[in-house]
This record gives sequence, C-alpha cells and structure tokens, in this order.
Amino acid sequence: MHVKLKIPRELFEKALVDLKRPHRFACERVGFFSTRCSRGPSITIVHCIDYHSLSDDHYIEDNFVGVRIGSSAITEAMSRCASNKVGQLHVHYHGGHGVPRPSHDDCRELPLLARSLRHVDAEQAQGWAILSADNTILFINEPGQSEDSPNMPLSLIGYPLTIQERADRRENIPYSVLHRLASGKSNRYTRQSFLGPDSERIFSNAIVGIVGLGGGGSHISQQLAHLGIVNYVLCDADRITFTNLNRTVNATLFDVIFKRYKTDIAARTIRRLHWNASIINHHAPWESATDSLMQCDIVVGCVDTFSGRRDLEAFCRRHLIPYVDVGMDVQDLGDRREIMGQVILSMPGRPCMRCMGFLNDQVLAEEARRYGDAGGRPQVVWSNGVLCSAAVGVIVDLLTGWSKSKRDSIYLNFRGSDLSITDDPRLPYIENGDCLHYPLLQAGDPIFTTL
Amino acid sequence: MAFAEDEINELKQSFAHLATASEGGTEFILIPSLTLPEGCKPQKVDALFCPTPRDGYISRLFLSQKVDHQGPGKNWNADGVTILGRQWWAVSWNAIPPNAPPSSTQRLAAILARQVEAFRCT
Repeated sequence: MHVKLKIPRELFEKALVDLKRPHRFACERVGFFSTRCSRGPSITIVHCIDYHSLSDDHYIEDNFVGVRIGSSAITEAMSRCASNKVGQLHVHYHGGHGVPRPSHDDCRELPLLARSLRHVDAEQAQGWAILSADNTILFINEPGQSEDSPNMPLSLIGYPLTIQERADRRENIPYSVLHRLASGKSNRYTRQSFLGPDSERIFSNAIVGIVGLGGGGSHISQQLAHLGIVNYVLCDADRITFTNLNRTVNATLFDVIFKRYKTDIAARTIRRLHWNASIINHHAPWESATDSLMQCDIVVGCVDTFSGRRDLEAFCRRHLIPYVDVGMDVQDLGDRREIMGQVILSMPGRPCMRCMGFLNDQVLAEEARRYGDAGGRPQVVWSNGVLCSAAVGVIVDLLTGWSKSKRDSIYLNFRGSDLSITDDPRLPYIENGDCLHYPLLQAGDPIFTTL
Repeated sequence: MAFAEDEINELKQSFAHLATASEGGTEFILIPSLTLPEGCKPQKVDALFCPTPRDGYISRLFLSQKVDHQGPGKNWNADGVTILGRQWWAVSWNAIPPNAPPSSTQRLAAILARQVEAFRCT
C-alpha cells in the first residue's frame, strides 16, 4: 500500500505562522491538523483539512522539555477525532531548513500520544510531524495500522505545488544509447532552464491525469511530453474516427483504419519522446479509473459536457487534486459565429467552477434538455491548440512557480474571432474567497451522517 | 442538515438506515436496499436521492445499477456518474413532470414515492 500526505499550502502557511509565535515560557508551540483519508485499492492519501491552534493556557511550565501541553489539549484533539470522524496530526516547528530532526523527547513522548489517538479512532490517520521552514518530517500511521510510517511523501497543494520525490520512481533503467540521450546528462532541456533548477526533477516526479484524449487532450499530452513530464494517467473510452482527424494531433489515417483508441495514440506520442514513460492507459470512462486518477498531482479535463466537468471537479476536490479544465464551443450569434473557450484552474479550497460562474444550474439543465441530440459539436484544431497551450502554461507555472504569479485560481476566456485570451472579469471579485460548494472539510472519502 | 426534521422522520418510517452527505453544495440522501416496484430487476438496489433540482430535473433518484423496469423510457443519461465516491445511474426521462409543483413545496416522502412509482407505469 502506497501512502502519501497532502496539505493545502494555505493551511500549511497558517500553521507555520501560528507555530512561529513566541510563547511566554514555552520554547515551542504546538498545533494539530485534522486529517481525513482517501482510500483506494493501492493507495491511501491522508489529507490535512483543518488546523487547530492551541491557546496559551494549554501550555504547562516545565524546565526539562521545550514544550509541554496539558491533558485538556489532548482531550480536545481526542474529542475532534470522536465527534468529527477525523484523525489528528500533532505538529510543532523546529526552525531551520531541510528535514527537521526529532529530539529525544519527541521520540519518547509523541508516539505515545499518537497511540492514544489511535485508541479513539484507528481507522483515521493519527500521528505527529515536525516542520522546518521548507520541509517536514512525518510519523503517521497508515489507517488501520498501529505503527507509524516515517517519511511519508508530502504534497503541498497550492501555488506552487510541492511534490516530494516519488518512492516508486523508476530507477535501474537498462543502460542504452536511448537512455543516455533521454537522461539528464544530455542538453535536452537547456532551452527551458529558466523554469528553475528543479524543473526537470519536478517534471519527472509529477503524475498528470488527462481525461479526454481527443482534440484537447492530444495537444496537452504532446506538449507535456516535450516538457519532460513522464508519468501519466490517460482516460478515454473512444476509438479514433475520421471525424476526429481534423483536430486530434498525431492521429493518422492508419489509426482510423485500425480503430485505435485515442489513449493509445497519445501514449505512442509520449513514448516516442520518453521510451521509459510511466503511462496508465484506461480505454474507459474516467469513472472506472478513479484509483489511478487519485494518485495524480494534477488532472486535466478535456471533456465534452458541463455535467462531466462538474463530476470530474468534484472528484478532484475530494482528493485535493488541482483540476485544469479546457473546453471550446462554437456559438451562433445570429449574423456570424464565434469560437468561445475557457481554461480554468480549480484549486482545492479556492473558488470552484460554480463559484466562478462557469457552471450553473441553467447550463446544466440546458445540456440535460439536449440529451440525445444527434451530431457532434463543432471543434477545430487551432482554437484547441491555443487553449491547450494556455492550459499547459498554467500547469507548468503551477508545478515550477517560475513566473512567481502566485495565481492559484485562474479563469481565462478565449475568443476565436480576434484570437484573444483574457481573464474572466468575475474572478477578481471571488478569488480571495473560500469555496462554499467544496469546503476542505469534505475532502477524503465521503462521510455519511446517519439520519 | 438541509432537510426539515419532520420530513426526515416521515422518510425514516419507510426506510431504515438513511444517511446524508453533501457534495458540490448539493445534499443527498443515501437509501440502502431501496425496494423498487414489482417487475423491476433487480428489485432491491441502493439509491441516492437528490430531492432538489439537478441537471434540469426537479429531483433525481440515482440507483447503484441499471435495472430492467416498466417505466416510460429505457434511456439512462446518468450512466455510471461518480457522486460521493461511488458510481450511480439515473433514467433520462422525467419521473416527475417539469410542470409539477416545485420540489420545495413537496414533502420528501412524496417526491421519493413519485420517483419510485415511475418505474412501474408505462
């Protein structure tokens, strides 16, 4: 079983600010993250969904340890476990940089605390962590297990994404000319070195899910492969047809003749650039590939319907995965036609596509009313290309932070007649607000309340 | 919880083990082993009841699998959609006509009964 921890960056920074505050007599401060889990057959993701600061009166003066907290603070943590069906992660700050080292007292006392919390609810992730200015060491149990698993990989969800080294990263690749050419020893990525010294490492660790490998997804997968992304989850149930050839890049007449799946065509393009790429290829709707998609660091949706977008965003929010939506449509304006499109970055905890006004009851109802209408909607290669290039720009900035834009909510509108991409005017009014549709407290596997 | 307590109590008289959860700002009611009208195959399925408007429908009843039934249509336009971490199916035809009184003026038990009964008649 693969286990990893995710913390929304905003929550992580809130914890750092709190823990760095001086206390009247204690040398350190302590807090708790509330956690929930997403469980799949091969992975468990532990999400931090809330942070709880300890008030000053919870601290006990003790000259022999850096910090001691009273039993009432621990009782409160246990109470949160029992009443809210959450786990608790005890956290404190050691300062400095790099991986913090637990003290002798930490190693003696905190595992006992974690064990006590596990007695309240063993099915949740309980444990302890120490933060430095830029890193974390974690001791947390796999839900249902009684012992801590140290060094669980951590992801910070926000701008930029922080993705720790994958434990299952492919190593020991047989030596070959191809490998030598494909490895970092070549000068393959020198022209994009401005993305940062870590960009190659980030790209080789990130897992990107692409749902829909037609006119949109084929551009996205191709560009990401050129950039150096090597881990993919591809989902599309469709095989290529003649009507797709006007816009699906890298698809050929032979692919149509041989009725190849769209995901196979995208995988072929990726493998021609990275022969050792890790590609999970689902010839099926994404709903049957949720265990694979759960593991992604970013999911890109190139789906045809508003309801499909809503459902995919809901899935991503539940598993704290940033979702990038790409889409276009041709609208009849009476005297002429206009190509309209959008690129949206939906970041967990931040405004969702409903908050942004892109999804609403009216468009979803209209789409349902059209159910069964014959014929495909108009699509063209160049507008897909422009939109997908913008989406790849959003993904690269999110992964590397190269622009320092700090934008974790994005809603771009494309207009085909003047080939313009502009910020949606509604976003500035909502981008600093919380999302009411997908509160962080609902992350993880659904919790049903008995009526 | 978004539902009136007396309406929930009325529902609980007919269905045991009801549970609720919310996603995307919509509140759903989980009904384990809902019994569908005779002639449906299978007759018992888990159901996810959305009593409020969704996708242009006044209310929706999602089932844990497709069923053979005697209702007015055979199409399923919610075809394996993921809601609350699980796949669900819902028929495309209106179990409750669009000109029916809005769901906010109807009791939960009455809305659910109409949704279920729609699988019976042609």
